[in-house]
Amino acid sequence: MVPCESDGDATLQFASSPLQPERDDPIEPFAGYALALAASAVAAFAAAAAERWLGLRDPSVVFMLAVLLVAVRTRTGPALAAAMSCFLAYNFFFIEPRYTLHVEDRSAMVLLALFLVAAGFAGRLASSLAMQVQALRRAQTRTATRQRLALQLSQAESEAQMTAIAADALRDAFGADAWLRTDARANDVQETESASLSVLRRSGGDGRPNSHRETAEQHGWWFLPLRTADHTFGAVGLKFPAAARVPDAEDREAVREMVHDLAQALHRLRLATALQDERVRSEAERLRSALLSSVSHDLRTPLAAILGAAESLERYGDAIEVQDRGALLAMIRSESERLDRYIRHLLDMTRLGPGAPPLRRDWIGVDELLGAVLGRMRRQHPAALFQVDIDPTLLPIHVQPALLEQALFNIIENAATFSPAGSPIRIRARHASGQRVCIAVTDRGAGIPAAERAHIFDMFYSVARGDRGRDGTGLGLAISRAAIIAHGGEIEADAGTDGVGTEIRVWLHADEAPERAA
Amino acid sequence: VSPAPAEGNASGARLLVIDDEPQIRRFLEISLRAQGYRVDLAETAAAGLDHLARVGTDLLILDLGLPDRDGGEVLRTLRQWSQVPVLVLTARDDEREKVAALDAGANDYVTKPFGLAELMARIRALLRGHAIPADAEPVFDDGRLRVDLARREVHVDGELVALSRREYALLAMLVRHAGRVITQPQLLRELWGPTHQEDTHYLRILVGKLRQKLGDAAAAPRWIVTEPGVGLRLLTP
Repeated sequence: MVPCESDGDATLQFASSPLQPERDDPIEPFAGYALALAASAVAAFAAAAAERWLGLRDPSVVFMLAVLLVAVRTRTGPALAAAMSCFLAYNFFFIEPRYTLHVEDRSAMVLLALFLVAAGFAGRLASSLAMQVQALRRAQTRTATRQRLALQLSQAESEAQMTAIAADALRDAFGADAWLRTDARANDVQETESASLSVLRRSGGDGRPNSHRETAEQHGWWFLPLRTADHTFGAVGLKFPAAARVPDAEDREAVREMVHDLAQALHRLRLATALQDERVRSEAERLRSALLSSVSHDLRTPLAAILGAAESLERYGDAIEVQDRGALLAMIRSESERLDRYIRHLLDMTRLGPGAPPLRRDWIGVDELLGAVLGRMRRQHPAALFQVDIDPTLLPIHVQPALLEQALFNIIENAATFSPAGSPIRIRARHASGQRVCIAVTDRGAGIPAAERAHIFDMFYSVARGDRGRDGTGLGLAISRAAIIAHGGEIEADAGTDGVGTEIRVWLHADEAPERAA
Repeated sequence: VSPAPAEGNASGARLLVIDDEPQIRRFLEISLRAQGYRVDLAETAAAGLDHLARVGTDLLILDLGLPDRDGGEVLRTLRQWSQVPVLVLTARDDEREKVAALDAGANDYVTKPFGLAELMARIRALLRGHAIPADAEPVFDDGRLRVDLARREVHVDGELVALSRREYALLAMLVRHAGRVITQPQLLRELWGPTHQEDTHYLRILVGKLRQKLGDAAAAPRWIVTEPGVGLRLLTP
């Protein structure tokens, strides 16, 4: 039966098999008493043999040995039974007159009495010692289990992993079927349990009144709330199969501790997640405000220029010199292009953000991609100079061509923006380690301080060095990085050749080509 | 509609513009007329197709984002009865849409916002390609590259170039559509057959070999231009 579907009565705090607090010996009681009898019989034979062939006059030591052996193997009851049966056998077989329980000799009487007392003591001592050893061993096992659980929980990365680990640990340690739930539904179970606890308290018993124990035993489930001091995370249900050892008070305590450890681990994980969410939220907030200020600045500035130039021409066209009219028209065109670039960047960014569609990969040569980029660069930045060096042995790469073309275009356009006039941008494409292709774009501009290099790929990050391109949207390199990461590639910025300018390097996987040749 | 030849290349050709945006229609009308073309305008696909059926045109400029009918559908309808060259205008920067339009029968495309120089170059290439009569001597010659489709001969700077059967087939296909983009699916269908439309890797290898034999470079192409995600284009002088 599924615990969370059960009715209120079923979701009691303790619902395991019949409770027998004194039972935790390795040998069942009946077997213990049988052992006591058998040991007494063996001792009687051994004593008889010793008397006959070794001339042992007083065999009480043999019987004492039997009592001790039984005591360490069983518990107090069988140990006392062994003492009693040995006492009887000793009396019956070895005390004159033999084969009767009648004792004539006073000293024999005393000896018998002393034997009984000593056997009783020894049996009890030995059995309690054995029990202590057992308890210690079990405590050690529990501690080890708990430590192992704590270690595994500390390495788990998700709630699902944590609950699975805890369920396994409970199963291994107690042979119990464990059911764990960490959702609102499980909190219902916990509430039901609190309610039944109050019922228990009212019934005034030891917390396990008969009426409830019945339901408990019927369903065989033991539910515990999964909680720390301040938080509840759900509930744990345990079912001990009939074949498994019945949990004693210490087992139950150990289960409670393990469940508590799990609750704490869940608490830690949720705190960490909340912290991470908060970080993401504040980053999103930062981006939102940066986007707003960027939209208002980068959209409005070119719009203002276009509007102003167009209105000037419309109103005062006749009064404006031909040369200035040309300048205004050129401004309308160039500002419109700037607006177009900005909108394109915004669109690209939304295409690459979270929830972006999967890549539509296709084969394309690195030289073909760079050819398309350079074609666009020559149209849009006719003054830029290039020095291109592509390894002719490079094979086609498997990428989303248009996306990667845009990524490389942004990098090269950025380099062009920072390059001093007349100094060529160096573009190299080479084989790189690990079946990869490396594309490096080097300018000889002012360069970027080492500390800021990692940030130039952040959205709206403007390098505070005064020469940021007027047309920069603060998005170009962020788009490049997002596109390259989407392809499983890497991007980094470094100082250029001889420490002059900047070199941006891109690595992309050179996938295996399909088998058949063209 | 009064044709007023302005610049030297005025052909007096008749162009039909189908676009629902009045600003686009207005500026296209002004600039195309300034180039000496005769311009007809339509606001919807229905009106445009009606005009085509009644009057006809030498070249159609078709916006893909029409309110009344999907651009691809217009193209497929049109292609059932007309082979008029079609230049597609698209506002979406999505190469899939371009490929779809080209496969549906468009001959070329420009993305909004487009430069006027680019638009005029595309129109000229389309009108020229269309103007070559089927029985004319099928030779492409830009001064350096000469492709004789009748003799199946290719010369670069006067030197005969030996091409494999497939390399020649690719070059011939580009030459027959010189100046226009040919999509990858079209190239793959033509060169390898309909079952190999995904095998773009072969196409890359083949283009690479063809470029090598012609002495062309993909990074700075003289003849064969790759449009990433769309297809190939042979540059015309």
